Amino acid sequence: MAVYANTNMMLAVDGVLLSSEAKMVEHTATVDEIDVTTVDAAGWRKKIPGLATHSLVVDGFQDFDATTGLDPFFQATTTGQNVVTFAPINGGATIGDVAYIFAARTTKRVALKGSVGEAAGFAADWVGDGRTVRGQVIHPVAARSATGNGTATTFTAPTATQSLWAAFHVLSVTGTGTITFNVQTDDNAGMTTPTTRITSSAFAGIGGQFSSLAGALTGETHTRVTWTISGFTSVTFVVSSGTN
Amino acid sequence: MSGVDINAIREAIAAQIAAHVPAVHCYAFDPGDSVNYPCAIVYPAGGPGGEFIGYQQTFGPRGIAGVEMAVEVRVTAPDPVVAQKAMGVLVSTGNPGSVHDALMAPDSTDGQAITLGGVVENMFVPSVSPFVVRAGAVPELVAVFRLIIKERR
Repeated sequence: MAVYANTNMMLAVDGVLLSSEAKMVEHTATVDEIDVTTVDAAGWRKKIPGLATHSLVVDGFQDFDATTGLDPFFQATTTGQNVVTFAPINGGATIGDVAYIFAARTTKRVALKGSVGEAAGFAADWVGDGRTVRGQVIHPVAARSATGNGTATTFTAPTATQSLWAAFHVLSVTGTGTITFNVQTDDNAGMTTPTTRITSSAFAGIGGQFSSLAGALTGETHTRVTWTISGFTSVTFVVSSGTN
Repeated sequence: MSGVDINAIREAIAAQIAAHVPAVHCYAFDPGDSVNYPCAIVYPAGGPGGEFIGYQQTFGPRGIAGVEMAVEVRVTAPDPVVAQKAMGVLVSTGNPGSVHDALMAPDSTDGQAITLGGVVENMFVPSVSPFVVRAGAVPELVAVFRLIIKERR
């Protein structure tokens, strides 16, 4: 079994790439324990799993810059839903790299931590707003200047009890305009007869979106993302999708 | 600020001291025996765990690396009292001859980060060692400043 080192991870929250500032990331999923012990349990409790939840904890170096820093972003997003993607290996640089995607809400913000003489740190916690999905990167962090189609990759089509999920992160834009994404599937690697399954909102700036489509998508074997750029001269984004 | 360039960092540290304390002869690299006194020489240093560069302090491709450097300050004088007083000025704060104040002089627009003219993300000086007498052809009084630097890989 391979051993992996935490040396190159991509972590995006909405329109902010946190990975180059974060020094500790912990994503934990738990399930409630429901006690169903009966009087004839012979001395052992009986428990069954209940509802599942998950959480994300991040520690890193704080940046107080008024326009590009982390602190203004955190202070502005204390109550709403955030979209999170993290790709634990290879920086999510290759299509098909594993990526965890989910929506979450903040439960803790530490604007400053550290003793005198140390680098200023931040900390932030999120709890899952719904499920966490283990998917794959379908467009790594990269800048695009024109409308285009991503490279197709294989995927596991959702059954009737599953959904196809997608996380979109627009990380930077140049100029004014919009960008809209489509997640498409097809039954062949050439994507000769693609069907658009998920369409994002039109992003007019940085931001994130977490969307889904209920299965089944029977017979589909490949997926890709396409993007339509209008007005912007350059847009940097990352898109991941998965079945759950 | 593109990558951890140790040579550029050493030169920037020496230039920073030279700009604020002209009386100190600054060397980015140890020139051997051919130094003029008082002098400040920049060296790679190790932290508590013997670490010079910690490459992986954050995750991303432009993640933060930690670098520990040292500035060795040397003075010499026939009278040991004169040498000790000269060293006292260099390691003190709040005077024009302070090496600490020279290193910690803010050079960025936000008044906080010390970027050595844009060479690093930040630098701070947590401590200086006690004075040590070093025997040699020219007996020296030596003290070593510890510098902690953050820079993008």
